[in-house]
Amino acid sequence: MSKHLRKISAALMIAAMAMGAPAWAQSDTGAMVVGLSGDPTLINSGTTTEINSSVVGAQIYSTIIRLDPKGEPAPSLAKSWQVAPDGLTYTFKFFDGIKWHDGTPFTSKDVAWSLLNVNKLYNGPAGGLLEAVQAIETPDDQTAVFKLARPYPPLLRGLAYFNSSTILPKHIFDNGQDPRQNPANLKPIGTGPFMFKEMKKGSHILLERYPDYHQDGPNVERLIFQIIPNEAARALALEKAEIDFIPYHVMPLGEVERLQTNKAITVAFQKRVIAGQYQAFLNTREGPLANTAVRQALYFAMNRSELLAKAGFGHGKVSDGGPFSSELPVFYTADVKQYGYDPALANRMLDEAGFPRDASGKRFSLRISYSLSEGPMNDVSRLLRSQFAQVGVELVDKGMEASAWRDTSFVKWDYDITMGSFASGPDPAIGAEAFYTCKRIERLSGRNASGYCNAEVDRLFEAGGRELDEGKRTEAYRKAAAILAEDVPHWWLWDRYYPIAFQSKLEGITDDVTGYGTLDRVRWTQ
Amino acid sequence: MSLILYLLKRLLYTLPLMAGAIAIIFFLIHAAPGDPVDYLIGEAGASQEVVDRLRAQMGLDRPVIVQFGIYAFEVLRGNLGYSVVSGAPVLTLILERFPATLLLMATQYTLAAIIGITLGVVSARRPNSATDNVITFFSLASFAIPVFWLGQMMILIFGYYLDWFPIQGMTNLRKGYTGFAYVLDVAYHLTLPALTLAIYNVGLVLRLTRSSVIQVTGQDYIKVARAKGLSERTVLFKHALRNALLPVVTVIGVEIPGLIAGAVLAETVFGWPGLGRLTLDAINARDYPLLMGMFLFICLFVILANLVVDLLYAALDPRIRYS
Repeated sequence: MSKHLRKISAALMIAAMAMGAPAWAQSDTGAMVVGLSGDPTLINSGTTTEINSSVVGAQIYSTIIRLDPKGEPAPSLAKSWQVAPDGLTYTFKFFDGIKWHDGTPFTSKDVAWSLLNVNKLYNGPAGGLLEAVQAIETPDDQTAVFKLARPYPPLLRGLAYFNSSTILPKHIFDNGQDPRQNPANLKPIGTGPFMFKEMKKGSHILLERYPDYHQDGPNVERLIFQIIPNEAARALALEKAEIDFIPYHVMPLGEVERLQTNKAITVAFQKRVIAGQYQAFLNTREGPLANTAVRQALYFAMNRSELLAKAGFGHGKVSDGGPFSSELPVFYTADVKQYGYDPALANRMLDEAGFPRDASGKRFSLRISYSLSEGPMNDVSRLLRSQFAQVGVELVDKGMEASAWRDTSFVKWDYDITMGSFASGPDPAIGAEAFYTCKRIERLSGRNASGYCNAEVDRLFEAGGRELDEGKRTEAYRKAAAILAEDVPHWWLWDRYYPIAFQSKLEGITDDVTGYGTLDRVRWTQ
Repeated sequence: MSLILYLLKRLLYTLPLMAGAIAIIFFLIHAAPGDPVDYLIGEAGASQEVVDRLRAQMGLDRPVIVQFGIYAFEVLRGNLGYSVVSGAPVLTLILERFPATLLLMATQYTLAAIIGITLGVVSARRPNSATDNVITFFSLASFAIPVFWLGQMMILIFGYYLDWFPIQGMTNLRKGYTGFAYVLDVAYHLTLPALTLAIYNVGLVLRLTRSSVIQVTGQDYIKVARAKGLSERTVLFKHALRNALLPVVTVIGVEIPGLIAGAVLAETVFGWPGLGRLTLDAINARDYPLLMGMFLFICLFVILANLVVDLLYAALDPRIRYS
C-alpha cells in the first residue's frame, strides 16, 4: 500500500468517526423513523391489502372515519354520520375545506367514485365489505349517502380500515386507466397528515408534514420509513435510535424480551380488533381427519401452552373461545367445549374411533403444511411432531415458501393440516364467516379450505350478519362458536397479541387499534 | 483489428447463451407453485371473478408456451415489461438499484484483491514460516465463515457494542445529508458491509496468490532477477507477481456470479438498498417480469465480466493474443 493511500484512508476513517458519534448524541425531534421489513410494492391500499402499503398509505391518505383508542368510530374525513333505523341508509357529512395534497378540493364524489370503482373491484376485503352497498349518492360536495340492499352492521367500522377503505382522489384515478397502473401508486397524493416526498426502493420512503391537514397534527416535520430486512438488525437499530418505531407486523418476536430490559424503549401490545389467531385448517374431506372424533382427540393431544410458550414466545393466550379470539370484542365467549392437554384421553378416543396402533406403535401419519415465512409455525410443527408421537400419530413436515403454501393449501386443497395466522374479526361477518360457511368453500386464499359444511352454522352466520340488534347478533354467533368448537374443523392454537416497540419518548403510538392507523397525533415528549 | 474481431465473435456467442438462459429460467420460474395473483390479493382473499379477471389481465390464463412466445418477442424489441406488482417498468426498477450494488461490490472486491494479493505474496515469501501459518489460518477461517453470520457479528461488535459504525442502511435518513456530507455519510455506512464481504473473499484470492507465487518463484527468471541483485521486494512484486496473477484473475472472473449471491446476503443483513433485495422480493411476490429481467441482467453482467477478464489476460501476459 502506498503512503498516499494510507494517508487518505486514515483521513477518511477519522472523518467518519468525527461525523458519526456526535450525530447520535443529539436527538432530532423534527423527524420520526419507522422500521419496515420491505418496500411496499405500491402505496395504494385501495388496490392491495399488503400491510406495508397500509402502514405507509395511512399517513398519506384518509378514511371516512377512524377508530378512537376504545375502538369507537371517530371523525376523520367525515365530521358526523347517521345510520337509519332500518340499517339501509348511512349518511356522512364531511369537513369543509379539505384539500388533496395537490390543492384540488376534496368532495363527496371522491368517496363514491373511489369506493365503488377502485376499492370494491380491486381490493378483496373491500369487495366483501361493500357487497351490500348498492349506490353511494352525493347530493352535495359535503354529503355522501350509502344505500344498502340489506342491513350490514359491520360496514361502519369497516370503513375505518386503511387496508380496505382508503379514499383515493377521483381527479387522479378516474382517467380510464387501470388504477393499478396509475403512476400515483408510487407518488401518492392524499388528504392525510403527511405528503409524499420521495421513495427509494430498498432504502426508504420520505414523507413531509402537510401544513393544510384538516385535523390536529401532525407533530413531526418528516416521517421516514426505513427498510430493514434483517430481524435482529431491526431491533438493534431501534436500540441505537437509528429508528424510532417497529410496527406489529415487522416486530421480531425473539427480540421482545431483550428490548423490554432497555429503559429507553417501550414494548407494548398493539390492540388489534381484527383479532388474529394462529390456527390450523383441517382437511375434513378425506383420511382420518374426516372423522370428528379424530379431530377432537388430536386437539386433546396438543399441549398448546407449550406451543405458545416455546414457539410464540408467550405473546398471546391459548384459544378458549373456539373460532373467536378473546381479543374479539362482544362476540367472544369461553362457554364452548374446552380441549385441555390430555394425551391419555386422546389415546383412548383414537382407539375407540377405530385407529389402533400397529406393531411399531403408529396409528397413521398426517402432513402438516405452513408458510416458512410465518414466524412461529416452523417451531409449532416441530413441537407438534413430538406431542403427536405420544399418541401414535406421525406428522410429516411440509413447510414451504409463502406462495407455494397458499397455492397447495387454499387452491389445490392438497393438505391434511395447514396452519397460519387468520383474523376472526374485526367482525365475525368479515373474519370468521369466510372459514366455516358452506358457500365460502372456494379455491381461494383465506376461505373455507377445510371443506367443513354445516347447515345450522350457515344459518347462524347468515342471521348474525344481517341482524341489527347487537344482543341477537351475539347470541347467533355464540351458538355458532359452540357448534364449531364441538365439530373442530380447525384447531385454534392461540389468540395473538401483537408486540410493538418504540422510543419511550414517543407519545400516542398506542392510540391506534387497527395496527396501521394514522400517526398524526404521535409526538416527541420532553 | 484482430482484437475487435475477437470481441465481435465473443459478443455473438453471448446471443445463443442468453437465449438459452432466458428459456430455461422462464420455464423454471413458471413451474414453481404459486403465482402473482395470490400475492396481490393477500391473506384476506378475493372472489373467483376478481382472481380470474386479474389472471386474464396478466395473461396468466394462457398456456405457458404462448406466454413465453410473447415474452421473447417483447425482449427482442427491447421491452423488459412491467412489474406485475408495482406496475413500474422492469428496467427502471433494476437500474435504480444497480448503483448501490455496484458500489458495494466494487469496493469490497478491490479491498479483497489488494489485501488478498498482498498477504498472498507475503505468505509465499517464506512458506511454512510462522507468518505464513498465521495468514493461512486467517484465510481458511475467512473462507469458511458464512457471510450472513459474519455480517451480524460485525454489526454487533462494531455497530452495537463499540458504537463505531451505523447498523443499517446506506445513509443517515434522519439527518438527510446532501453534497459532500452525503458522500462521507455513504462511505461511513459502506464500511461494515464492504469489510464483511471483503473478508469473505480475501481467503480465496490469498490462497491462490500464495500457491501461484510459490510456483513461479522456482522459475529460472526469478533466479536471474535475484542474481542481478534486485531487492526482494522488486523480485516478488514486479517479476513473480505479474506472472503469478493469471490464475488469480481467472478465478476472480469465474467468481463473479458468486459475488452477486454474496451481495444478496450482505444487502439483507445490512439493509443495503441494492439488487439483491429486489431479487428476493420479486421471488416472494412471483413477480415474473421483474424476475426474468433480473436474471437477464445478471446473465449479461456475468458474460460481460468474463469478457473483461479475458481482455485483462492480454494486458497481463503479452504472449496471449486474440486472433
